[in-house]
Amino acid sequence: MKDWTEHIEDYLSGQLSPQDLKAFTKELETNTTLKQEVALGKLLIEAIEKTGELDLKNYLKKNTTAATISKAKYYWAFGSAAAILIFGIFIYNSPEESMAVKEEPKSHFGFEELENTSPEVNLAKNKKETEPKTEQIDQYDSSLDSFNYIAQGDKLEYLDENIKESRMMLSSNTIIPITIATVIPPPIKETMITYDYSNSKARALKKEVFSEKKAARGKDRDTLGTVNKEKAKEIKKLVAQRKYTFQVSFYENESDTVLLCNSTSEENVHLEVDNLSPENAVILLYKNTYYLKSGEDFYQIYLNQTSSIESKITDTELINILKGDPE
Amino acid sequence: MLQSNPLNKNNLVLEKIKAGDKAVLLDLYESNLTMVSNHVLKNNGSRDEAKDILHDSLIVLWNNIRKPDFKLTCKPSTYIMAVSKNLWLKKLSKAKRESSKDITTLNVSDHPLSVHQIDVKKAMLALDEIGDTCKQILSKYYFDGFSMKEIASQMNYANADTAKAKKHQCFKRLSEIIKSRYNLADFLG
Repeated sequence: MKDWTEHIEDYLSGQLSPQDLKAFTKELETNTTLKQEVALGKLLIEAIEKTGELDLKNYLKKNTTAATISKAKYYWAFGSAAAILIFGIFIYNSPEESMAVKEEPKSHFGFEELENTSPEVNLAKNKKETEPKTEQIDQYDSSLDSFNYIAQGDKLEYLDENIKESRMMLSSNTIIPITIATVIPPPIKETMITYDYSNSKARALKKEVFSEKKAARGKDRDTLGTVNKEKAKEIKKLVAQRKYTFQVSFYENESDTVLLCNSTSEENVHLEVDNLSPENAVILLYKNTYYLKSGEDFYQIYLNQTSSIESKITDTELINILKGDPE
Repeated sequence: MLQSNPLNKNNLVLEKIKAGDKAVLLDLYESNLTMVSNHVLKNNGSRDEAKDILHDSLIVLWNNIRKPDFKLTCKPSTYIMAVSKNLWLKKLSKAKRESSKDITTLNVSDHPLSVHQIDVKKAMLALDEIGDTCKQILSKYYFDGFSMKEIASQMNYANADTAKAKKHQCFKRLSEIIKSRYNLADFLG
C-alpha cells in the first residue's frame, strides 16, 4: 500500500500526476488520518505564507525609513522642477496690434510696477532670493467673454535655460495673457501656481491703458506713464479679486509623472493624472473651467471637489477649441 | 524627456518582482509614498497609516505578480494606488463600524482570534524552530513561488530534485513539531 502521507505536499501544490491524483482523492474519502494530515498541510502552508508576508513587511519597514530620508533630496530636486507663476495682463485689439506689442520693449507698457509687486512674484521672491526672470506676452481679444490663462510646467533642468514655449494659444481667436515668472524652486515638493483672471472691469481698464498708450506713441510718455501706473494699481486690485492659487506638485513615479493640483484657496482642486510629463503639463482655463492638457489628451479639472478626479475630455469640438483649432 | 522608455521600465519592475528582488519594492515605496500619503492624509489618515497602507499594497502587488495566472493590465504605480485606496477605504469602513458599536457591548470577545487563526499562529511559531535553511526553502517555495530549479540555484543545491527532497524534509519536520505538541484531531478542530 502506498504511503500517501509522503505525497501530501505534491497534492497540495497540484503536482500529482492525474493518475495519482485520482488515487489520492479516493484514499482521502476514507482515510481519516490522511484527511487530518492534508488539513495540517494546508494550515502549515498558510503559516508559511503568513510568515513570508510578515517577513516582507518587516523588511519594508526596516528599509523604507532610511530610504525615505535618502530620497528626500531627490524629491526636493524633482518636486522643485516646475515653477512657473502666471499672471495675466494683456491687451490688444487686433492681430496687427498684437505684433506691434510683441516688438515693443516691455518697459514701454507701463506695467512694470504691477508685475514686480504682484503677489505671485513676491511669493517667488520669498521662496528664493534669486530674482525671478519674467517674461510676458500681452494680448487681449475684446470679443472674448472669458479670459484664458495657461500654465505650463517645466522641469528643473530647463530652469537654467530661458523658458521656452511656456505659453500656448487656446484658440485662434483667443489670446492668452500671461506673464511667466520662473524661480529657482524652494526646497519643497510643491510649486505654487497662481491662476489669476481679472474680471471684466479689469480687462476694460487694461484695454483702455493700451489704447491710450497706442494713441500717445511719440508723445508725452512721462505723463502717460504716471497715468498708467495708477491704472496699473487699479488693475492689480481688480485682478486680485479673482485668483486661484494651486499647489502643483510633480512627482516622478515609477514610470510616469503624476501631477497633483491642490488648491490653497477656498476652491478645492485635486487632480491626479497619470502619464503626465512635466513638459506637457499645461493647465488651461477656458470659460471658467480648468483643463489639463497631457500629451494629446485633455482632462477637466473640477473645482470644489476634494476627491481625486480624472476626467478625460471626449468632446471633439471642445478638444479642438482647447487645441487652438476651433475650425 | 522624462522617461525614454516607460514600458520597459514597467516590465523591468515586474521582472524584478518575479525574480524575487525585494529591493524593487523599496523603489516602488519611494516613488509611490507621496501619492499614497496624499490620499490617506486627505481622508483622515496619518502619515504613519499611509506608510502602513503602502507596505500592505506592495505586499499585495508582490503576491499577485508572482501568481502565474495573474496579469497586470496597468502600470505598477496605478495598481499600487488602486490597492492603497481600497485598503484605506476598508480600514475606514472598519473603523466606522467599530465606532458605531455600542460601547457597553464592546469587550475582548468582539475580536477573538478564531480557532483556525490560533492554529496558524502556533504553526508560525513552530516555523521558527526548524532552522533558517528550512524556513528559507519553504518560504521560497510557498510564499515566493520559486520553482525547485530556481531554489536549487539560489541555495546551492545540486539540482531541483535535491532541493525538493530538502523541502519535503523541512515540511515534514514542521509537521512533526505540531504533531508532537498537539493532538491532531483537537488541533484541527
